[in-house]
Amino acid sequence: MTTDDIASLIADFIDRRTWAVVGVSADQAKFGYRVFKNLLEAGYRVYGVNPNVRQVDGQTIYPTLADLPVRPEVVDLVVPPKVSQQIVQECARLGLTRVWLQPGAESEAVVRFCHEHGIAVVYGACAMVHKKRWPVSSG
Amino acid sequence: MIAQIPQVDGVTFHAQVLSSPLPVMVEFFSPTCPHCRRMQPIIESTARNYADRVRVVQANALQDGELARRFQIYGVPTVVFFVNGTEIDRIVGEVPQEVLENHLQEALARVTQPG
Repeated sequence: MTTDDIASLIADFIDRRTWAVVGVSADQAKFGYRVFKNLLEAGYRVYGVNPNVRQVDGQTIYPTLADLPVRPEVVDLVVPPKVSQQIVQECARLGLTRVWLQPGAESEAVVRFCHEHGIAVVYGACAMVHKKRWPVSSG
Repeated sequence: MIAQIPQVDGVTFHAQVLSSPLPVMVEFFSPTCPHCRRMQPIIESTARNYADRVRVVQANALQDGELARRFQIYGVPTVVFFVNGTEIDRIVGEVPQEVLENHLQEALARVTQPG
């Protein structure tokens, strides 16, 4: 995959409003918290996933992707590679087709699985989200 | 010796980048991004290798969100190449030094062979 491909994917992902952050943390020092918080503050509709956390900053956190009340357009992974492998398999089962592997979540096997299962995958870069004003009609 | 990479922001960007007589390589980074931290020695080494031909600077995309928005930086690290004040290429994401320098060589080729 070329850097142009990554750039196009990132632009497409950032334009999607509904994200799931898998591996969200209540610990403000952790990446899993900052990613979740940054997306929320930028105006994204964000759903946290972590089977060991109930709430973060008043937001309900869900045990699995299958428990989410909506279908996320982007699944952002902040988990170790072994867990990433399970999550991308779940994405394939649920028909979720955009995955962003945050630092430490990636492995060759995970990236290969995504490519083999029609999942667009971003890795090697951290999301830099800016405050967005979403059209009212987009929900 | 560790190279000191000059930092640019919205105030200095025009003078340091867009008005530069030399080609400029700008790395947009975030201090909290592990990929950016891993790229740092590569950026420094590249700056040393091309010191007489290319100006290498860094912009903190987290600190200067307005500048990052202006250049549509959605992921870091993003390295943008400017020649005569115009963006001619960019790399998004962590890359090895070889890839970075290949892009830089292409940018330099554009300077010596305009059009």
